[in-house]
Amino acid sequence: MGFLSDWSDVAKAQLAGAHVRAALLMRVRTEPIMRMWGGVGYVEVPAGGAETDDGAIYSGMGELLGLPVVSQLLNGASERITFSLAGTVVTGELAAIASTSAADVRGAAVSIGFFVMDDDWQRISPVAWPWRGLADMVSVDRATDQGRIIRTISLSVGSLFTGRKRPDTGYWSDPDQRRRSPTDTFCDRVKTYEQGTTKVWPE
Amino acid sequence: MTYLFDTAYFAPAKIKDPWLSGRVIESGQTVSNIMPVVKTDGGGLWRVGFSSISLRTRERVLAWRAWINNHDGGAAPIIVRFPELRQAPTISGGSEVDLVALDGSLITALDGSTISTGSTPGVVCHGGAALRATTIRITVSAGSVLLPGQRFSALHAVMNKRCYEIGQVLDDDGAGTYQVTIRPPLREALSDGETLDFRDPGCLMRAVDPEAVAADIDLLRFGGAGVDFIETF
Repeated sequence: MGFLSDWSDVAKAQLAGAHVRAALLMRVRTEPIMRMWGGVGYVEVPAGGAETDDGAIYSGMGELLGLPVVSQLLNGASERITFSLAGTVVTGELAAIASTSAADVRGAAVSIGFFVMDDDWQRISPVAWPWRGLADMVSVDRATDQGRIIRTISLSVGSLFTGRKRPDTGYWSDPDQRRRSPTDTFCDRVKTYEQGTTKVWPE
Repeated sequence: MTYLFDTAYFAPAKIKDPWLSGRVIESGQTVSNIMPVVKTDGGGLWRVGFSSISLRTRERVLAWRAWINNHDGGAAPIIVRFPELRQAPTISGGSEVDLVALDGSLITALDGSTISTGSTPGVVCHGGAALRATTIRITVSAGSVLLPGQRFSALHAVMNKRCYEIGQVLDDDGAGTYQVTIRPPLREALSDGETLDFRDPGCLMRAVDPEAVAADIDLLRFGGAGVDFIETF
């Protein structure tokens, strides 16, 4: 069952149309919860999916500089995406991200959602939450543009299969294979190989 | 304390009529010759531009410096009066009401005196309206009819002064209550009976480029200036 299964035909038609009015949402489960959307001002979001509070207020005061492209992850694939937040908007939540308590952000659930609105900018669909990940690294960037200082906070978010360690099958050296299977001698000659070595057979 | 950019004081000037600016994502032209667009800004935000402002007197040069000083390089939001004198409806009755800032202090003009501006007490929101509503009812106790394209402001408790524009007049009960569509969607809910300002609409804004607002002065006496503002939050 897809994440649009509870959408009405009208809402689906709006999404499939040539003129779409969409609201893009980002929710980070920190304490307190960060709720941002890509529009202007405040918007109320109903409970459902990643949102647990009915009537939760999402803020669009310029915090969210943009939502990166996300992909549908299949067969255990993973990805890491980076959100850019306005470093000049010092809300309590953003201050926590940029401060030494950034460790509190690590591992926080991040959800991206959207809903569509009609011609009068009124919500006509429930919120779909197609992508979820875990917050990881926070960095503060400072750039200059024609003499102006532009400060942004970058939040790196990994999908559920994203890890920092190298995959177990990354190395085929004897110690790595022995770690996986102590009696397996399959890789005991790997250390004699060099790049470009031609192994003549039979010896 | 919120300061004011007094459009009326710096008239005449070339004004780019305030417009709603937003963010649109385009995907390009499809095979079927359609160019789908996705609008994600939730209704847009106000922008206005002023150019060819003549600073031909000592007082005007000083006043120009004063508002820049009060704006504090863009750190302090400022209320910009929208030029609506000719387009505004004729509202009978009402009285001059002081514009009050969020901290209860009176909003001061460029020369330090307090600004009194008509909040048109005879015009109120009828029945209240929710956050982000785009259809509201307005009651005009005595005055001319409301027309599409007219603008008004509401002084919200949290969002300060915000401007809205009538798109359509859907209904008129003949007794002074109009049902209208507005853009952008309400920044904050309106309560029943809350006064709306058609005579002196404005919006909380900031200079798009605070570094580019300094006046050009010739012969140490005469000068000109321009500034672009964008709605701020």
